[in-house]
Amino acid sequence: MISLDDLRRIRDEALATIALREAGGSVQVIVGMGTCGIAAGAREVMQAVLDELEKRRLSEVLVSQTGCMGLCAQEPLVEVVDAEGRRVLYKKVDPSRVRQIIVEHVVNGRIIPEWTLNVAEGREDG
Amino acid sequence: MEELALHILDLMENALEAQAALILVQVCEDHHKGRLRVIIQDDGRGMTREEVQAVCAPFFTTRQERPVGLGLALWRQAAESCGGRTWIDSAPGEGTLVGAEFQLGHVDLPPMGDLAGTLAVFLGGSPQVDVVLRYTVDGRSWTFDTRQVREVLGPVPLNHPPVVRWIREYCSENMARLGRSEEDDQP
Repeated sequence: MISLDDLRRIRDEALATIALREAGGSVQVIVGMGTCGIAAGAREVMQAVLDELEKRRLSEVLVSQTGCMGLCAQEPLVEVVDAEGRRVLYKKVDPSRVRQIIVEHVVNGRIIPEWTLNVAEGREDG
Repeated sequence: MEELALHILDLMENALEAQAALILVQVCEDHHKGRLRVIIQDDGRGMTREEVQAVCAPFFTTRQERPVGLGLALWRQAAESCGGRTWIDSAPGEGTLVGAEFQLGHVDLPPMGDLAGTLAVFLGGSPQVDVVLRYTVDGRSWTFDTRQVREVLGPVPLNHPPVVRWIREYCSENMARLGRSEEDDQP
């Protein structure tokens, strides 16, 4: 039985172990959650993102969702805004790709070029 | 959409787009009447009468990126293909209510699917929104309210990954229990 006591335990552990962010961490993961994304499997992709961040204790990564980006044929789409400020859009993401994107890009800062749709550098001088 | 829970996620995303602060999701299974009712209600910006008429047509959207909107049309199609109907009640500044009735046991009725996962994923990506889920099976109800969860959590965000997992498991377990008859709950 999962109970509110479990939630209290999670709260206490979180307060003891994580530095709670004020305005969110610098790394963001954004999942496209329009009708097209949902129909293509975005819920399972978002689930995998949350699971992987939990497993790797990456509670400083900011997760959010967005509507249709106008690229429905490439859904599910996941955008990573990394520590260098690059915005990288990954196409046709599934849960197994999510795990590799988290390990390679979010943790190690290495873009996976074969799955990207677009890479925007963070700096204006690029 | 293969699950009603995916339609519900889609309609919750619409509420989010409409700047909702609170979304109420009601699911009511009545096996005596053979009816399943689903209502998604938000306190977002609402729609004019013209907009309500327009959203019922496929390809209407408020979005700029792509001039196609299918979510509500798919919802209506899902209901009508199994002997049901949909309705929308909305006014500017007064939020929107989207409802549907389905015939339980109809061969074309999609399964409810992973409603707990829908809720967890939605809150994982939009922790600023409050959601109340009220699930009723033949008069027995169970309510989940993120405002109560926030009270317990204090400064810990609703989308802290272990909290999201808790939401999914807590909702899944309680809804499954509701689906069983009271005799089944006896040891």
